[in-house]
Amino acid sequence: MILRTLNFPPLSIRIEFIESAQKVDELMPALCDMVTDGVIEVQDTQVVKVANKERPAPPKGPRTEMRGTAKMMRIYMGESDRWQGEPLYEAIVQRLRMMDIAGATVYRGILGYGVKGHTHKGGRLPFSRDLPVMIAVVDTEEKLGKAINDIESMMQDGIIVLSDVDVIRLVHNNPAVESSHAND
Amino acid sequence: MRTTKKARLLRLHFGESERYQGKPLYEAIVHRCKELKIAGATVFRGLEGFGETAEIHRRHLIKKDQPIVVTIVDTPENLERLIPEVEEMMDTGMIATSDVDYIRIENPPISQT
Repeated sequence: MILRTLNFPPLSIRIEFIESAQKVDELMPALCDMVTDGVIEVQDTQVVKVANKERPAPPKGPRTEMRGTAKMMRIYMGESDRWQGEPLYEAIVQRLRMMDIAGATVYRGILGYGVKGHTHKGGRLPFSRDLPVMIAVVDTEEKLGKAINDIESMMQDGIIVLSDVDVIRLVHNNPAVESSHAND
Repeated sequence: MRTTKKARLLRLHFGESERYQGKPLYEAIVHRCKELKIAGATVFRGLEGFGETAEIHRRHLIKKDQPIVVTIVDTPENLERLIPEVEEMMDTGMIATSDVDYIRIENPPISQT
């Protein structure tokens, strides 16, 4: 079924879509509310070919959902902190990967202050800035406990904040992932 | 095991275009936190989001209105002092708190192993 909406001048816009009759009926009340000025047209149509230019998705196993409680760890530091010559946040993420931690995300703040007592603020020159950086990590309490020991020895100052979280993890069961998690 | 302390995490969500007395609201809040001797505050800018007014906060060509999150970790008592002040400064937005455990790291500078 084709559905068209028309809006009259100053600028005519036509939105056209093809969907099953049932979907169109479902959407109709909402559309009638939204289109205050114009025409909504519904037409029967026959779909001959559906072409999809996108590459077919790589074959994935069935998706499973893992639910449970875990810990969230937030590590706060400065962008200019370093460890053995490399940025501290990169070193920490690398270490977390080696420890097979489920995942980590690095955030850069735009302003902040904390343990060091100075304000982290963007400077005019990229090399003079020291913005706050936060790494968020979610995994089991046990694995984070081990990670904290390592991270503490890498950091000079900063804080680590732990909180309880509920996780819903969507995992595609491909063989590689399963084997790496088999010894968890 | 290391010593962890109980603390609370406060998160403030609002838009980058919010202002307080002519200054960006997030700057004003960080400034007020310092005045109140709050342990620390960090401002993050999101890419896109929406909130109470269902208005999408995103980057425009001339206008900056991306979502802002301010996170603050301190004792419940200190946050009790801060929250009424922040509530008064914020026009629209959201304030969320949660219980956390907190480890402060202070290693001597040459302890890099």
